[in-house]
Amino acid sequence: MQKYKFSRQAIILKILKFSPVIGAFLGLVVAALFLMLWKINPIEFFTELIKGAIGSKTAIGSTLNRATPYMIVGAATAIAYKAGAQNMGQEGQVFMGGLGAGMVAVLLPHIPSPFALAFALIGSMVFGALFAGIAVLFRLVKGVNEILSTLILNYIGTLIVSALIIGPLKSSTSSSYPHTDSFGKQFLLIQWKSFGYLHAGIFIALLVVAGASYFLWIHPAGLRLRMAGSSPLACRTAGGNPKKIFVRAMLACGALSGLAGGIELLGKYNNLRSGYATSLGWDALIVALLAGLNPNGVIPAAVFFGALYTGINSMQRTLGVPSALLSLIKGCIMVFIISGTALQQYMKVKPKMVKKEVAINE
Amino acid sequence: MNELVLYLSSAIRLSIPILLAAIGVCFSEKAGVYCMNADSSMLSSCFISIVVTLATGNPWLGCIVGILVGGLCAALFSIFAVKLGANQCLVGLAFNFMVIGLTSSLLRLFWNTNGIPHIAGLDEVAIPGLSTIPIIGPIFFNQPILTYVVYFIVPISWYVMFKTTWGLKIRSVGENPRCADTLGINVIKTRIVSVIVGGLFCGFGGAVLSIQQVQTFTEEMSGARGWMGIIAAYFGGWSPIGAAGASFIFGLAEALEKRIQLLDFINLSSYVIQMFPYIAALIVILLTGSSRRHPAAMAKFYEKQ
Repeated sequence: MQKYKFSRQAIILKILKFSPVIGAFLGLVVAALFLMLWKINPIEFFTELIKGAIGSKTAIGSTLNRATPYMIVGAATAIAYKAGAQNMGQEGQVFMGGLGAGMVAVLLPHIPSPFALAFALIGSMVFGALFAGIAVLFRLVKGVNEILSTLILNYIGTLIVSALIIGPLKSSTSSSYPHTDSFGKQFLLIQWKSFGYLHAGIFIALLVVAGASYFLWIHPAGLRLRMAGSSPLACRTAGGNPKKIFVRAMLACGALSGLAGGIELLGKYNNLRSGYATSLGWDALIVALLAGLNPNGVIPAAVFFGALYTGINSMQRTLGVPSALLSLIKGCIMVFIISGTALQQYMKVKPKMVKKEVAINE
Repeated sequence: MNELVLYLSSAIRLSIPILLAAIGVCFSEKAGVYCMNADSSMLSSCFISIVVTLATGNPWLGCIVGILVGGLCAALFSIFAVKLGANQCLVGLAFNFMVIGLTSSLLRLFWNTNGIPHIAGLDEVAIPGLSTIPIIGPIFFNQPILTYVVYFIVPISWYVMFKTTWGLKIRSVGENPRCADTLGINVIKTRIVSVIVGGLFCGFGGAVLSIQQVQTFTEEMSGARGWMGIIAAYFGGWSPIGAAGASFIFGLAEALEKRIQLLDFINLSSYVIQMFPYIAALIVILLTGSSRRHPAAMAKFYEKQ
């Protein structure tokens, strides 16, 4: 391979290693160009975006708040994808997790202080795992591919939450939007008002990411999991059980997504309402891709996405930019990253083939 | 009886967009490309066909432009999914996000928060003679005009896929691309063309949804119909006629959703009712399970050696 060190392909391959960074940048550029339709100068767009995301204490607080669930779900997604479980149901699992935490808080309001929060978070994890369990059950019983079942379950999950809020869990006090009764103080995460309502969930998120990273790269079970994802046959030969690992990875992803939903709910709101975590699961899927499906990269990717979200939301107030723009940026970033990864493989194949042809000619 | 006829007739009307998406998915997936772009083709076509209809006042022109835009979206998808060999599932999802972002932002840009005004869409046309047959007449032959077009599309696309040379090419490329390549079939080109044809059908589905049914555009109005199309094609074993059967099940669920909302003696929350099509989709995938053998090279990248 020495020969190819300075060839065009080698240089392109080196550049493509940074495809997540390039993808993120190009996504922003596309958004800036698109915003010229609103007669917004690209430079103004970038300065406003940075100002809205990290310009003040409040902005930094809300950026980190948004990054918290991204970190947890991103790490969970990375684990699931490494195990070959293509979970696309984070959105629904996040919603169900919030429902679990909310139900504990509403139905068991008299739990004493130190246990209340723990119970609520465990409730959220159980609900998330159960919801992912539906897709696992389908896979085990009938061999249904988890991509389609989790995609459809997303819609059902969000609707279940909305249905329960206007139905059995409806608050006794009337208000303009449907919500449940307020939670007791002992259920809520600590908030720092001076720092943009930053809540304690960020520490849980950092712990989860560290744990996921340790599990995936250092613990032997992580090796087995990665083996099951990249080569089920090798895993079986080495004595592992790919099916069992798949089930555990899916359930873990569901439980952690649920935990993220619970933290989002108990950290920011004091009652369960519909649409409290809209598109959070989808964003987290892209965070995981941006991190290269590696928990180590999830923290910067999550902070980047949190900043993007906060920045665009503040621009919606100041410049009248539609918040749907985030969806466009998301799609662009995703396309650029995926095609970068594909291009990398595409390029890698080439040098070998040249060699082969030479050998035949000789 | 009258109620049942009305119900079945609206089930057929509502199943048409899903059916068209499912036919598109059949073409794309028979050629070995996982058709995750179905929803994005549909949504872009929904938007464009309404915009063109508003601009020109001609729903037919809107429909045609919508179909073409669906094809264009699929063509872009095929560059990444077929030519570059990116993960088809994730690229499809990415396209979905991009189209949601584009259409919703453009909606805000041009119409602010008011939303697009309603258009004069296509109304029901009873076919003289056929529509007077008892029961069958009012169910099948008292439909909006594009539905009749679809009645012809189903058998024609079945014929094209299973009885013509081009259909054989598509199927061979999806089953064993290397073998097809040695026989002189251009694998990449065949795949790209069939993905584009799939996109045209999905675009048609989107145009039917927006021009004929909703008659306006709302954010994310395709509402997973593209994914239901994928499930319908799966249930039908990637045959257009089988897919039509599965789409009819979704149509039944969706019509039930619309009908129950009109009946006041059933006291169900509207969110529970909205779940019906999705639950129907889950039941359909559970029933199908792994009993359908998907095209052998589906979602696998092929590179010419």
